[in-house]
Amino acid sequence: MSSNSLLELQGLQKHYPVGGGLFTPLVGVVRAVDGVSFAIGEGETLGLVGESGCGKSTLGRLVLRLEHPTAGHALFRGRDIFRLQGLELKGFRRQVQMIFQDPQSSLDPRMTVGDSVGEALLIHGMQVGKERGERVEELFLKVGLEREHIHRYPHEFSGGQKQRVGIARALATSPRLLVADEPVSALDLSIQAQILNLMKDLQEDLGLSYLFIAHDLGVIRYVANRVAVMYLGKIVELSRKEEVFSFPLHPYTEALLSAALPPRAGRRRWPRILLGGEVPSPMNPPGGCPFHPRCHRAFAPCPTVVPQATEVDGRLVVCHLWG
Amino acid sequence: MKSLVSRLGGRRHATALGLLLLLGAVGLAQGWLGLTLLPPLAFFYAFLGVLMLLYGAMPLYTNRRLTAHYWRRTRRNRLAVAGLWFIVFLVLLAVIGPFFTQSPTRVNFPEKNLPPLGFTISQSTFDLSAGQFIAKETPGVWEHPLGTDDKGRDMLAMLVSGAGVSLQVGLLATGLAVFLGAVLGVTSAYAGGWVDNALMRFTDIMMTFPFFLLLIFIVFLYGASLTLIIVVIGLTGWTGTARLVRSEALSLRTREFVLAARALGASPARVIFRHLIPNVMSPIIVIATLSIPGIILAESALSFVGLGDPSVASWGRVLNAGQQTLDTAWWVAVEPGVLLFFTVLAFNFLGDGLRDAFDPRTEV
Amino acid sequence: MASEVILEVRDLRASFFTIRGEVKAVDGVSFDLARGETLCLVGESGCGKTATALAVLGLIQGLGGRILGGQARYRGEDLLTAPASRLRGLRGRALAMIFQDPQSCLNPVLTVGAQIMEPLRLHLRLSARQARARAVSLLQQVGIPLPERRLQDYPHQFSGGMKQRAMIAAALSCGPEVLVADEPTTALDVTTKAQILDLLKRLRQEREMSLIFISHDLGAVAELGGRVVVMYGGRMAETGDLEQVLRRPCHPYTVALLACIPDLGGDGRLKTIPGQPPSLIDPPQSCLLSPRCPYALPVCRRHRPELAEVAPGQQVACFLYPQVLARVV
Repeated sequence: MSSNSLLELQGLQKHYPVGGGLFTPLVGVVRAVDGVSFAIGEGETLGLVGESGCGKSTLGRLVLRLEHPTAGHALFRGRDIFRLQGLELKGFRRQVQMIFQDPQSSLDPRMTVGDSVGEALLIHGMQVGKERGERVEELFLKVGLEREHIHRYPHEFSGGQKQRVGIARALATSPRLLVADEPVSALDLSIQAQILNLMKDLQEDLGLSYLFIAHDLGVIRYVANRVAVMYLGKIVELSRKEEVFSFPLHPYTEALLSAALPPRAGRRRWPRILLGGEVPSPMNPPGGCPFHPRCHRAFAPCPTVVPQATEVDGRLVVCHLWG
Repeated sequence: MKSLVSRLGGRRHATALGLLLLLGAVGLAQGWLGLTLLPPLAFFYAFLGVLMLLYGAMPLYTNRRLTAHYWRRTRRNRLAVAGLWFIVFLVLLAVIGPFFTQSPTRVNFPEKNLPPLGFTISQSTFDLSAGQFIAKETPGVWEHPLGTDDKGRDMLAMLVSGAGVSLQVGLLATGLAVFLGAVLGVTSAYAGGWVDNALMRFTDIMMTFPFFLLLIFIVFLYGASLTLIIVVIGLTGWTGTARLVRSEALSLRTREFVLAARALGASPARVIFRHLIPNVMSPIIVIATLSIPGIILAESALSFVGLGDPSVASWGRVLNAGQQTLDTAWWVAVEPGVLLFFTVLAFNFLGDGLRDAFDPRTEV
Repeated sequence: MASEVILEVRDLRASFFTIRGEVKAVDGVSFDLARGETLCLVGESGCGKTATALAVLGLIQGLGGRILGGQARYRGEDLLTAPASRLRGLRGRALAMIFQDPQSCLNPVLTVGAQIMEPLRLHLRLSARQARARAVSLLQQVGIPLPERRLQDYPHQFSGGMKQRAMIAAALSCGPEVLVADEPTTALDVTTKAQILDLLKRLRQEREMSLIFISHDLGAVAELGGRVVVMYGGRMAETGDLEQVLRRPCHPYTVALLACIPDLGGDGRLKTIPGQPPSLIDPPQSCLLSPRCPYALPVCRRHRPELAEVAPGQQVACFLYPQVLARVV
């Protein structure tokens, strides 16, 4: 991986035990994130796609160091984030921030939105007194809110405005990397477009990097430079955006694309692939390639042999078709 | 110093902790030196006052717009407002009333069993001049607008002083119980793991403990005193609050704004004091309001069965006395009963109103 | 379509009464639904699409709403004035509804089988054995494998997609003529969503059932086809065939909505609709889109546009079209 990457994940794993408490036996292990490696460069947006329960949100929390991994490393500017302590950890927290899915629950209902945004500055002792007020104001203007909004409470805002506040809070400490976990999926269409445009503008202005987690391929296509497709805790394909959408390598990517419905009538670009069955439980994933029971291209080795990552034209795919 | 303050989650919490420690120190010193500079109840008041001022009044004042918002919502519920006014009236009665009424303990047999104003009863009295019992029409008199009991004590005076007792018990014991419950609940939820397990099992044990029996036992051992009753009720009554606060805090802990604060690098103390506690304040206020009537009733029940503090005229004690003279002087039992009924009702209405006002689900 | 009209809604008006005032959730909605037809109600949250369906089914009263006027005739019988007992009889048997969140619509302490069999025994008075056989066949129809065994399962043993299938089975149990589906795919994953849409399409064809599909997801609407009603601020903005509305949208709102979608096609900057959706408390007698509309004319801020036909089968409520303007002057 390139040396100028901002964040680099190396074989990151997060397993949750099920049961195993004081009075309950250990039932099994959920492999939420199961050996994920990729890198995000400066100013780049990596789109992470997958269906619910595939581990993409857990991965996001690992990158923010809100969870500790079972194994693996995550290097931010070459330093392992799980080994950081004290001042270094604080420095890391300043540089990596998060945008949440639900603008309703991501703001403390008992604080004015201005206080919520200012809290980051308070925690990090950045700017005091009048200066802090000015900085909050600057952030509000930057995300398209107005000065009068600063002293209001979350319940006085619409969903899109709350999401803008959430973005302002994330920007307060001038971070380099933003982890955005489904930032627009709770918003209405017309508002969704406003937020996506805002995020793109901010990226250009501030040179931010995004780890953009979403289930909507249309959204991913709009914001991402590269796309990682996740299934049952593993990355199954990692490609540059143009190529994923014009020529998907992994059958799962193919199926996702075909299921993403074109809104304009009659503009289907993909033969319809209707996946059978359901996403298996991550506690008990199928043997061999975990996707094989639903795969429309499965053949002899798939049920037994675990596929290895292969590089195809600078893209990464984990599938026997290409191995 | 500054880092200590910030570690405690801000100036307010540092002040609260400091004042509470100071109170404790004064109390201990007083005990050692054998002085009584301050009566035990005064400590309770000071303790509760500090908490109410810093965590009740101050946030209400600094977040004036939010306060106005909740007040508007509470005000919509007429019963809650009526309840609030009744409670205010009761507090005023208990505080100012004693200055205007006669002594509640002054016994005056010639004026015994006078009915309330507007009522006339016929009772047999021993006529000294005739040397025999005669039936005599006894009307209510202005000096005793609510009548007198069988020892000629003024009902109004007794009820006014009883209001003070009931409110003291209700507020202080509830304050103690809710404080303990909130601290244990939030700690349990935030710590998780074995701390949570241990605290909750302890709560279970406390819940199944027959507290009335304990009270009877303690009163038997140490004699009845109001302070003792308040402490015992407070020390045993926190379990429900602890459970409720824990479940609230548990659901808050997974909310995204808590996650956001952690991603910003906020310390556990900051998360607890700045984000968890203010957000569990509304259920705490509601449960406090709703448990006050139960505790007032508990004290009345204790007094009713004769385990109350004999030196104070609580409503329960008057009720108990009145129950024996129901056939000759019905008002002695009915008056405290009616007051008790309306007090309990008022707190319940207010609690319901506050719950609806604080409930974000009714936000629409 | 020449086939018989089974549901006829005319100038439906309904409001929710809240502490902040009257919310005019449905303000003059009219449409016809023919046998076997699909009608898609499209719009953003709060545009009144769900309220319209709830009003027609007589469910809005239970949610703090009130019907203020209009008609909703099912086979000539006005549902809005029908007594509650009659409506209860019709719901489930002739008119069925499924909801967005299958999780909260299935009772967690009853088996799935019991919940599917309940309407069968209640409305059709089937015996336990008959009801059971019918439930098995229903689960089979909605594509649930091993139906006999899954009848005994509880909802938590079903995945999200399976729950939605079970909900659909329960709604279909008495063979309704009209199925109202309120955002049935919103809570589902992309691949599951495609499966459910496929199922709805198939069931509609097989049973010649009419479908009212409520969604904000234009992609899903495009998949189902049929007639489309675009709603904005409780009013109808545009209606027409799917092809007309999505390919040749006439209302500026429909145009803008389509431009907002980051789809798999074109690149470049997304178009947005500036501002926020309108408040429906005391809405002005003007075009509700006018504050957000780039083409707003002076007349738009003074008068309310009524629907007028701009092409065969396509109606638009916008003053940019002379047919609409002509109704004011």
